[in-house]
Amino acid sequence: MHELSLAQTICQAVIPHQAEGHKIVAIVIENGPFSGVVTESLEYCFSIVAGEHGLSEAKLRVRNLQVAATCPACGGASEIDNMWAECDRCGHSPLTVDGGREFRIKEIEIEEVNHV
Amino acid sequence: MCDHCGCSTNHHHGSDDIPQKQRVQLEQDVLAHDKQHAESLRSKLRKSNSYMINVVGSPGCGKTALIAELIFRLKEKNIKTAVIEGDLATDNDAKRIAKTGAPVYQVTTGTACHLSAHDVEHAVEHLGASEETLIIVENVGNLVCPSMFDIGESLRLVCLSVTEGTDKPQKYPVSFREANLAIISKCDLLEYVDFDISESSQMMRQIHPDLDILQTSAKSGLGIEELAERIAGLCRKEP
Repeated sequence: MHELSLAQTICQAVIPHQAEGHKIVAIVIENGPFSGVVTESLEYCFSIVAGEHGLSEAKLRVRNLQVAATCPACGGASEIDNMWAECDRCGHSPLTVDGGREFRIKEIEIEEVNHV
Repeated sequence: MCDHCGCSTNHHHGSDDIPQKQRVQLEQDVLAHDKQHAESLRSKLRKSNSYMINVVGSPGCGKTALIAELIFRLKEKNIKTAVIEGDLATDNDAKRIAKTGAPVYQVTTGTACHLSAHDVEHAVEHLGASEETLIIVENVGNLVCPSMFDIGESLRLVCLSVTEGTDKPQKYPVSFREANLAIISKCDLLEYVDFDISESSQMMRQIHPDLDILQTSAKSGLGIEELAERIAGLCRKEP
């Protein structure tokens, strides 16, 4: 369950970007297909730790990315989201990929806190 | 008093408006901090002519036994070895390794399912390993979590025992994708279990086409000399 420590890291990373008088309402994560991060686990872990960091109102939005792959047999290009994917053109597997390990905080959304 | 404009009424400014959302682009790698620690450790080790191996695999796949056997073979090849043990709790593995005479430091992670580069940096300091040392890190027994954490190693070895089942590479692909060398361990038990070496190797190569795969048995000694020879070769080649 490394997603727990990753959720903590995400919280710690976004807090410095929360300007005074503002709150973070959304955190957008980009997750590559080979990152080793399970989206559901990350969302669950975030819901547990967000409160500790004053982020209980923040929504975690995970975008699962696809990665460009090339077929070593026919040279065909595909967009894939898992290691077992076959070539769109000839059905060959495995495909050659460059990247897919992305796991980054794309952006955050912040909102002014209402004065009472 | 209103804290916005200083007037004496208690009115609210903008509270009836729809809150303005602002987007801040971060483009920040979540593991950036870990990666920095890993890079700095790797370069520090390189400068002292040391080399680090990260051993990952399920609990009970035979990592400790493999490391203990390797230490003996490496000693014969004049390779100085030190070990860092990672477990949630206990120093049982450190005690097993200590019997070989190699310096060992146990990291107990408490609840964490993997070692981080930061943990390992501290452990290296505790070990006091100086120049020209092969540092073998036995990661927390887990075929999932350690796979995405670079700890500053130059070689990652994934260990799969024949008692775990042929299809483990398919079930836990990231560990096999990120490794440089795969060990199929406990091969002395092959006649008692339904493990298909060629099928399992094929699954590994489907994920990682040029993955090096070696069959070992810490009990019978199968493959240990070959593995020690390869590791010794890598140590001599570095930096």
